[in-house]
Amino acid sequence: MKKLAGHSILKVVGFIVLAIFFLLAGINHFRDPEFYFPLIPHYLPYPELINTTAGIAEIGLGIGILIPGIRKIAIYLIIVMLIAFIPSHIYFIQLDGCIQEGLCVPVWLAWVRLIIIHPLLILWVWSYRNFNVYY
Amino acid sequence: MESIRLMLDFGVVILIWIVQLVIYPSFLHFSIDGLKVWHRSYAKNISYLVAPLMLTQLGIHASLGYYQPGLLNHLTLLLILLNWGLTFGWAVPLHARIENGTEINYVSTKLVSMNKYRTFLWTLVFLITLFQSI
Repeated sequence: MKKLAGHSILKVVGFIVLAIFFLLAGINHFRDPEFYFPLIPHYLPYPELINTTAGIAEIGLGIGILIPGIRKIAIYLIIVMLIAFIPSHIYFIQLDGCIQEGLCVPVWLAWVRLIIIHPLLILWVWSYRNFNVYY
Repeated sequence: MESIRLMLDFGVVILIWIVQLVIYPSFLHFSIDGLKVWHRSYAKNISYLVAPLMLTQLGIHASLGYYQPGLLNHLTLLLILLNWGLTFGWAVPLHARIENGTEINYVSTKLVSMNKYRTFLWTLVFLITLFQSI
Protein backbone atom coordinates (compact mmCIF):
# COMPACT_ATOMS: atom_id res chain seq x y z
CA MET A 1 0.00 0.00 0.00
CA LYS A 2 1.21 3.51 -0.88
CA LYS A 3 2.77 5.34 2.07
CA LEU A 4 2.69 8.99 2.99
CA ALA A 5 5.59 10.17 5.18
CA GLY A 6 5.99 6.59 6.40
CA HIS A 7 2.32 6.15 7.27
CA SER A 8 -0.50 4.56 5.31
CA ILE A 9 -2.69 7.07 3.50
CA LEU A 10 -5.67 5.79 5.48
CA LYS A 11 -3.85 6.56 8.72
CA VAL A 12 -3.01 10.11 7.58
CA VAL A 13 -6.56 10.75 6.36
CA GLY A 14 -7.91 9.34 9.65
CA PHE A 15 -5.67 11.75 11.52
CA ILE A 16 -6.98 14.78 9.58
CA VAL A 17 -10.58 13.60 10.01
CA LEU A 18 -10.01 13.21 13.75
CA ALA A 19 -8.72 16.78 14.15
CA ILE A 20 -11.54 18.22 12.02
CA PHE A 21 -14.12 16.05 13.80
CA PHE A 22 -13.21 17.42 17.24
CA LEU A 23 -12.96 20.99 15.95
CA LEU A 24 -16.41 20.92 14.32
CA ALA A 25 -17.91 19.08 17.30
CA GLY A 26 -16.44 21.77 19.56
CA ILE A 27 -17.75 24.62 17.43
CA ASN A 28 -21.21 23.03 17.51
CA HIS A 29 -21.30 23.31 21.32
CA PHE A 30 -21.32 27.09 20.82
CA ARG A 31 -23.48 27.25 17.69
CA ASP A 32 -26.23 25.04 19.09
CA PRO A 33 -25.91 24.68 22.88
CA GLU A 34 -29.62 23.84 23.18
CA PHE A 35 -28.86 20.53 21.46
CA TYR A 36 -26.50 19.51 24.25
CA PHE A 37 -28.30 20.72 27.39
CA PRO A 38 -30.87 17.88 27.46
CA LEU A 39 -28.06 15.36 26.94
CA ILE A 40 -26.28 16.46 30.12
CA PRO A 41 -27.48 14.26 33.00
CA HIS A 42 -29.94 16.19 35.17
CA TYR A 43 -28.00 15.31 38.34
CA LEU A 44 -25.02 17.38 37.14
CA PRO A 45 -25.01 21.09 38.04
CA TYR A 46 -24.17 24.01 35.73
CA PRO A 47 -25.10 22.54 32.31
CA GLU A 48 -24.02 25.76 30.54
CA LEU A 49 -20.59 25.53 32.11
CA ILE A 50 -20.32 21.83 31.20
CA ASN A 51 -21.33 22.55 27.60
CA THR A 52 -18.85 25.43 27.26
CA THR A 53 -16.04 23.41 28.85
CA ALA A 54 -16.72 20.48 26.52
CA GLY A 55 -16.70 22.80 23.49
CA ILE A 56 -13.44 24.49 24.48
CA ALA A 57 -11.86 21.11 25.27
CA GLU A 58 -12.87 19.62 21.92
CA ILE A 59 -11.58 22.60 19.93
CA GLY A 60 -8.37 22.84 21.96
CA LEU A 61 -7.61 19.14 21.81
CA GLY A 62 -8.49 18.95 18.10
CA ILE A 63 -5.80 21.58 17.56
CA GLY A 64 -3.51 19.88 20.09
CA ILE A 65 -3.26 16.62 18.18
CA LEU A 66 -1.92 18.54 15.19
CA ILE A 67 1.00 19.90 17.24
CA PRO A 68 3.82 17.36 17.51
CA GLY A 69 5.16 18.79 20.78
CA ILE A 70 1.88 18.23 22.65
CA ARG A 71 0.25 15.53 20.51
CA LYS A 72 0.68 12.73 23.01
CA ILE A 73 -0.72 14.67 25.95
CA ALA A 74 -3.61 15.88 23.75
CA ILE A 75 -4.41 12.27 22.90
CA TYR A 76 -4.42 11.24 26.56
CA LEU A 77 -6.66 14.20 27.39
CA ILE A 78 -9.06 13.36 24.55
CA ILE A 79 -9.38 9.86 25.98
CA VAL A 80 -10.07 11.29 29.44
CA MET A 81 -12.65 13.60 27.87
CA LEU A 82 -14.32 10.73 25.99
CA ILE A 83 -14.49 8.71 29.21
CA ALA A 84 -16.05 11.74 30.90
CA PHE A 85 -18.76 11.73 28.21
CA ILE A 86 -19.86 8.18 29.12
CA PRO A 87 -22.36 9.27 31.83
CA SER A 88 -24.07 11.38 29.19
CA HIS A 89 -24.37 8.36 26.88
CA ILE A 90 -25.79 6.26 29.73
CA TYR A 91 -28.23 9.04 30.57
CA PHE A 92 -29.35 9.08 26.93
CA ILE A 93 -30.11 5.36 27.17
CA GLN A 94 -32.08 6.00 30.38
CA LEU A 95 -34.14 8.45 28.31
CA ASP A 96 -34.84 5.61 25.83
CA GLY A 97 -32.70 7.38 23.24
CA CYS A 98 -35.18 10.17 22.74
CA ILE A 99 -35.32 13.80 23.77
CA GLN A 100 -38.49 15.74 23.05
CA GLU A 101 -37.87 18.15 20.17
CA GLY A 102 -34.27 16.99 20.16
CA LEU A 103 -32.13 13.99 19.30
CA CYS A 104 -34.27 10.88 18.96
CA VAL A 105 -32.92 7.46 17.91
CA PRO A 106 -33.97 3.84 18.57
CA VAL A 107 -32.68 2.87 22.01
CA TRP A 108 -30.62 -0.01 20.55
CA LEU A 109 -28.66 2.60 18.58
CA ALA A 110 -27.91 4.46 21.81
CA TRP A 111 -26.59 1.14 23.19
CA VAL A 112 -24.47 0.61 20.06
CA ARG A 113 -22.97 4.06 20.53
CA LEU A 114 -22.10 3.33 24.15
CA ILE A 115 -20.80 -0.21 23.74
CA ILE A 116 -19.27 -0.18 20.25
CA ILE A 117 -18.88 3.27 18.69
CA HIS A 118 -17.53 5.05 21.75
CA PRO A 119 -14.82 2.45 22.54
CA LEU A 120 -13.89 2.42 18.83
CA LEU A 121 -13.54 6.20 18.93
CA ILE A 122 -11.25 5.89 21.96
CA LEU A 123 -9.20 3.22 20.15
CA TRP A 124 -9.02 5.37 17.04
CA VAL A 125 -7.63 8.27 19.08
CA TRP A 126 -5.24 6.00 20.99
CA SER A 127 -3.82 4.62 17.73
CA TYR A 128 -2.25 8.04 17.03
CA ARG A 129 -0.23 8.26 20.26
CA ASN A 130 3.05 7.68 18.36
CA PHE A 131 2.00 9.31 15.11
CA ASN A 132 4.56 11.71 13.69
CA VAL A 133 4.05 14.19 10.88
CA TYR A 134 5.46 17.66 10.25
CA TYR A 135 4.00 20.34 8.00
CA MET B 1 -17.56 35.34 12.78
CA GLU B 2 -16.56 37.22 9.61
CA SER B 3 -14.02 39.34 11.52
CA ILE B 4 -12.48 36.21 13.07
CA ARG B 5 -12.26 34.71 9.59
CA LEU B 6 -10.48 37.82 8.29
CA MET B 7 -8.01 37.72 11.20
CA LEU B 8 -7.29 34.03 10.65
CA ASP B 9 -6.87 34.39 6.89
CA PHE B 10 -4.54 37.34 7.46
CA GLY B 11 -2.53 35.33 9.99
CA VAL B 12 -2.24 32.38 7.63
CA VAL B 13 -1.20 34.53 4.68
CA ILE B 14 1.52 36.33 6.66
CA LEU B 15 2.81 33.01 7.99
CA ILE B 16 2.93 31.31 4.59
CA TRP B 17 4.75 34.25 3.00
CA ILE B 18 7.37 34.17 5.77
CA VAL B 19 7.76 30.44 5.18
CA GLN B 20 8.03 30.97 1.43
CA LEU B 21 10.41 33.94 1.45
CA VAL B 22 12.52 33.31 4.55
CA ILE B 23 12.24 29.88 6.12
CA TYR B 24 12.29 27.36 3.28
CA PRO B 25 15.02 29.20 1.28
CA SER B 26 17.17 29.21 4.42
CA PHE B 27 17.17 25.38 4.35
CA LEU B 28 19.40 25.56 1.26
CA HIS B 29 22.19 27.15 3.30
CA PHE B 30 22.43 24.49 6.03
CA SER B 31 24.83 21.59 6.13
CA ILE B 32 23.07 18.20 5.96
CA ASP B 33 23.64 17.47 9.64
CA GLY B 34 22.80 21.04 10.64
CA LEU B 35 19.50 20.97 8.75
CA LYS B 36 18.50 17.65 10.29
CA VAL B 37 18.94 19.09 13.77
CA TRP B 38 17.35 22.47 12.97
CA HIS B 39 14.47 20.99 10.98
CA ARG B 40 13.20 18.91 13.88
CA SER B 41 13.19 21.93 16.15
CA TYR B 42 11.68 24.18 13.46
CA ALA B 43 8.94 21.73 12.51
CA LYS B 44 7.92 21.18 16.13
CA ASN B 45 7.88 24.86 17.04
CA ILE B 46 6.18 26.20 13.92
CA SER B 47 3.33 23.74 14.53
CA TYR B 48 2.26 25.82 17.53
CA LEU B 49 1.41 28.56 15.02
CA VAL B 50 0.48 26.50 11.97
CA ALA B 51 -1.89 23.97 13.56
CA PRO B 52 -4.25 26.38 15.36
CA LEU B 53 -4.31 28.75 12.38
CA MET B 54 -4.96 26.06 9.78
CA LEU B 55 -7.53 24.11 11.77
CA THR B 56 -9.52 27.09 13.02
CA GLN B 57 -9.41 28.63 9.54
CA LEU B 58 -10.86 25.43 8.12
CA GLY B 59 -13.48 25.27 10.88
CA ILE B 60 -14.61 28.87 10.37
CA HIS B 61 -14.77 28.52 6.59
CA ALA B 62 -16.60 25.19 6.86
CA SER B 63 -19.13 26.75 9.26
CA LEU B 64 -19.68 29.75 7.02
CA GLY B 65 -19.90 27.53 3.95
CA TYR B 66 -22.58 25.48 5.69
CA TYR B 67 -24.60 28.19 7.46
CA GLN B 68 -24.15 30.96 4.86
CA PRO B 69 -23.87 29.09 1.57
CA GLY B 70 -22.74 31.14 -1.40
CA LEU B 71 -20.27 31.05 -4.26
CA LEU B 72 -17.42 32.87 -2.51
CA ASN B 73 -17.84 31.02 0.79
CA HIS B 74 -17.78 27.70 -1.03
CA LEU B 75 -14.86 28.80 -3.19
CA THR B 76 -12.69 29.77 -0.21
CA LEU B 77 -13.59 26.50 1.54
CA LEU B 78 -12.59 24.59 -1.59
CA LEU B 79 -9.27 26.46 -1.84
CA ILE B 80 -8.53 25.74 1.83
CA LEU B 81 -9.34 22.05 1.39
CA LEU B 82 -7.05 22.02 -1.63
CA ASN B 83 -4.30 23.49 0.52
CA TRP B 84 -4.89 20.83 3.18
CA GLY B 85 -4.47 18.28 0.40
CA LEU B 86 -1.22 19.94 -0.72
CA THR B 87 0.00 20.12 2.87
CA PHE B 88 -0.60 16.49 3.74
CA GLY B 89 -0.08 15.04 0.28
CA TRP B 90 3.03 17.01 -0.64
CA ALA B 91 4.61 19.04 2.17
CA VAL B 92 4.35 16.36 4.86
CA PRO B 93 6.25 13.72 2.80
CA LEU B 94 8.96 16.28 1.94
CA HIS B 95 9.41 17.19 5.60
CA ALA B 96 9.57 13.49 6.42
CA ARG B 97 12.40 13.10 3.88
CA ILE B 98 14.37 15.88 5.60
CA GLU B 99 13.73 14.13 8.92
CA ASN B 100 15.17 10.95 7.42
CA GLY B 101 18.11 12.88 5.98
CA THR B 102 17.56 11.79 2.39
CA GLU B 103 18.47 14.09 -0.54
CA ILE B 104 18.25 17.14 1.69
CA ASN B 105 19.29 19.75 -0.90
CA TYR B 106 16.91 18.37 -3.52
CA VAL B 107 14.06 18.16 -1.00
CA SER B 108 14.66 21.73 0.24
CA THR B 109 14.48 23.04 -3.32
CA LYS B 110 11.29 21.04 -3.86
CA LEU B 111 9.81 22.54 -0.68
CA VAL B 112 10.37 26.08 -1.97
CA SER B 113 8.86 25.30 -5.37
CA MET B 114 5.94 23.31 -3.92
CA ASN B 115 5.15 25.95 -1.32
CA LYS B 116 4.51 28.62 -3.93
CA TYR B 117 1.22 26.88 -4.72
CA ARG B 118 0.18 26.96 -1.07
CA THR B 119 1.25 30.59 -0.87
CA PHE B 120 -0.79 31.46 -3.94
CA LEU B 121 -3.91 29.63 -2.72
CA TRP B 122 -3.81 31.09 0.79
CA THR B 123 -3.21 34.57 -0.63
CA LEU B 124 -6.24 34.09 -2.86
CA VAL B 125 -8.32 33.01 0.15
CA PHE B 126 -7.26 36.12 2.04
CA LEU B 127 -8.03 38.41 -0.89
CA ILE B 128 -11.50 36.90 -1.32
CA THR B 129 -12.20 37.29 2.40
CA LEU B 130 -10.93 40.88 2.28
CA PHE B 131 -13.16 41.56 -0.74
CA GLN B 132 -16.15 40.13 1.15
CA SER B 133 -15.50 42.28 4.20
CA ILE B 134 -15.19 45.69 2.49
